[in-house]
Amino acid sequence: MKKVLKRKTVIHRVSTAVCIISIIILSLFCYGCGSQENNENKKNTEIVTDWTLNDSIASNPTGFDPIQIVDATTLNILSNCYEGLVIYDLQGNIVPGLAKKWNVSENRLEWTFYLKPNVKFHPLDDINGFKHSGIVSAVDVVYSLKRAITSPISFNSWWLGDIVERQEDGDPAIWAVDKLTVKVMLKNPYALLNRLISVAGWIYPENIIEALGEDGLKGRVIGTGPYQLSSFMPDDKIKLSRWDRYRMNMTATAPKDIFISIISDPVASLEFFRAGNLDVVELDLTTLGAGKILAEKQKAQLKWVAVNHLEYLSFNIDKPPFDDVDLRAALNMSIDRNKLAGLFEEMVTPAFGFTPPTSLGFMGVDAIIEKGFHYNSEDAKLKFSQFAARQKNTSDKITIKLVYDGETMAEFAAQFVKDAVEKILPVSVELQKITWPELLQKSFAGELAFHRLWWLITSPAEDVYLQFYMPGKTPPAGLNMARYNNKDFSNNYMDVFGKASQDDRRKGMMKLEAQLIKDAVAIPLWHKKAVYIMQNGVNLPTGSTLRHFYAQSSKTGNSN
Amino acid sequence: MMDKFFGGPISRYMVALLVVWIGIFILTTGLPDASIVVSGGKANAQNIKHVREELHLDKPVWKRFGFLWTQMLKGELKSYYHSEPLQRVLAQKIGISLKLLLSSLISLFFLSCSWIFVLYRFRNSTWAASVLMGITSSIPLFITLPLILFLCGRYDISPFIGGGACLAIYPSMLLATNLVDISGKKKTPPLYQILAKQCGLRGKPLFAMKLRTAYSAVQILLNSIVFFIVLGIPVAEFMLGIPGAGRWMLESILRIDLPVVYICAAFSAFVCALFFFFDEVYSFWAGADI
Repeated sequence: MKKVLKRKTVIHRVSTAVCIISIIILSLFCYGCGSQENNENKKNTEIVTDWTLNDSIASNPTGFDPIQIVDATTLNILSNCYEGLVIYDLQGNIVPGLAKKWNVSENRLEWTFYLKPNVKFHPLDDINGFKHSGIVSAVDVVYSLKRAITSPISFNSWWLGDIVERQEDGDPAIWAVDKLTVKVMLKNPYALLNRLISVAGWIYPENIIEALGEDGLKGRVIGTGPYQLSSFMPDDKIKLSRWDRYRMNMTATAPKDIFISIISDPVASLEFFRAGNLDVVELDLTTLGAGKILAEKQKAQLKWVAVNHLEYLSFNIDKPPFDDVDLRAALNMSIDRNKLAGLFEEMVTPAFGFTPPTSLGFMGVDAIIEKGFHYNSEDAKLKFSQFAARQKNTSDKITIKLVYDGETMAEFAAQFVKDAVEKILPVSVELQKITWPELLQKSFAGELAFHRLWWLITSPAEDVYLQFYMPGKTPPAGLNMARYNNKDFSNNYMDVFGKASQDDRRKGMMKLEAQLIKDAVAIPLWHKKAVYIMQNGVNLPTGSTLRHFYAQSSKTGNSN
Repeated sequence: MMDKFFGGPISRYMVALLVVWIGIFILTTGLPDASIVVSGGKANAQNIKHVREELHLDKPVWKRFGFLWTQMLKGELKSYYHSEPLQRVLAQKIGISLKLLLSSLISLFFLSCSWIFVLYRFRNSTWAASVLMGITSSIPLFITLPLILFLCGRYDISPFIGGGACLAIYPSMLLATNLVDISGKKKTPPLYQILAKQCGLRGKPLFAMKLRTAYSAVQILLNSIVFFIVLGIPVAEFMLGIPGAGRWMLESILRIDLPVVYICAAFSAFVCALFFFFDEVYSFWAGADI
């Protein structure tokens, strides 16, 4: 008996000891991983030099080849690495880039660009057998622009391909006059600079594709911008390093290295920010509340930026019943956009038209409310009755299907639209949720009649917002998902953007928008505002295109 | 014995893996057209034709399968979006996932020890043990992971430790309940121990017998590692922002990056098969005649 008791006591003591040791080791392990950083406001306001900026994005870049970039994330990162003949500044103005000046012929068809001398490309020495002076010349410009227009893998060919004249052999009419002069001939008068600030206008060395292979620029960046791509690991990090031979001679106050973490979960991003591992995080609807509290607690900065963005519901005008303008107008009038925008706190502004407030062609808040899609249940019913009167063999109530993808705000919007429409009109709205790739594919193929879409214009070009409604630009040769086909609109479009005066163009854009509103080509819902949370002392200028201007960023406080 | 072994489990597993690899490929063919997704909907007809050719999407399914494997074996398989060979990326990503796996296994050890102690203390109370078991089994990963995410952010704990602990909570309890008799009944020593003592057997034979008796515990351990840890790693990586292979695969499904999806899925099928194979080897050995 005594032996049994003794054995039990030994087992008991051993197991107690194992447990205590386990707990101690586990606690030490956790504690050893770091203590909570003191995020108190730093009193030191000295400007830090050669610092490291830790930025974050939500998704991977989709390749680095300028002619294949289709997403805002990649474009905004590479805007810090590549440059065109013209670039845009913090305010979205078009300013000289690689060209120091330009002039236009009297008939506005021939444009001549004069390049800045001695502008250097990022290092090229490691490319076997590639001979290039490393200095930008006219042949590099001609090579890059022609490749953007003619390459069969160019998804951005339309930017320049639509407006640049072709020679007899089909080659774009772009040529080098001398080492530092380039000429571009247009088909019709057009505001060319708007198209040149796009991704299709970025310049890289002549024959680089021949040296690196067709895939060469997918993984390598050779531009003239202030930052070089140092490394990239999918779903992990992108590293950019300061190009100290950048011609504008950046000061050391710009970050030396930039680590851009790719974190798809916004909650995870905010937690990394809280822990001090990130300097900047873009907040979304799910993290806005927590971000505001955190900003107050950690004395971090909240920054609101109006974005060149439109969230809308697209019709396929070819498909009944959406081929009827009265039905489209009735649906537009049954939605209270102010109420809808209210669901998303301060993250959006209601969209009564198609042009975002950041655009040159925006009519102004009061004018667009007056001329745009207003909420009026009586007018909506009237429009619907006109539509119903033209329909034969229909019952009192019609059913339409709204297809959307799983994004949180889209989900809210779909439910809101369903409730709003069903409340006012004899319409039953069926909701169908699919994935974004599926939605894109089906919309592209013209299979969907009524679905969610959005765009985010990544350059402040004044003409692009209306480009989506050009006749003949339906997929697979454009983004006119609505299949809008109004010849007057396209004629007016070319006329407006052929004008030399910006003021004339602005007035013309308003008329074009009025036409789209009259034809109710889609249901605009809201324009987005980007909300960033930044660590105290970090100054990272961001534009309406969501670009982060790294070269203009700075930091005050202690060096990291 | 070796012939029997190689003729049995090995060939069976090879066939099963081949079927799984073909099955995964067939499943990926059901995803939306990658050429449209890659081009962001901005492509024209000529682009789409070219992209389809470049991605070999214009070829019959069996040719695409052959091409995929040829490229994979040559080490030249690439993502639809980037030019980096996938094997190189996978190797780095696997390193990160292995770190999380290691952290899970360390947590599994410590948590199991703690549960064993707790269960041993409550071995006469089946009610308390059942409650404990119920609690650990009914808190799913998608609840524990966000909680851990907040704790990691607040107390600056590495997400590897938090994620590892999350993944190990339930398997450790499963293992502990198997190792500690919580029935409340007095445990009698196994028959082989009594016989071995009577025959004066010590050392190796006794240890071998103990290992054979531990088969069910080992089986639980291996199954836990596969079902809760290996398969939980992608979820943990996704939610905690850990840049490992699991998260890479999940994100790639959303962007229809078929080569990445395939290489990750094929690799994880291989890892799972490896664990089950080891389980079978152990079972084969445990059941073999002395």
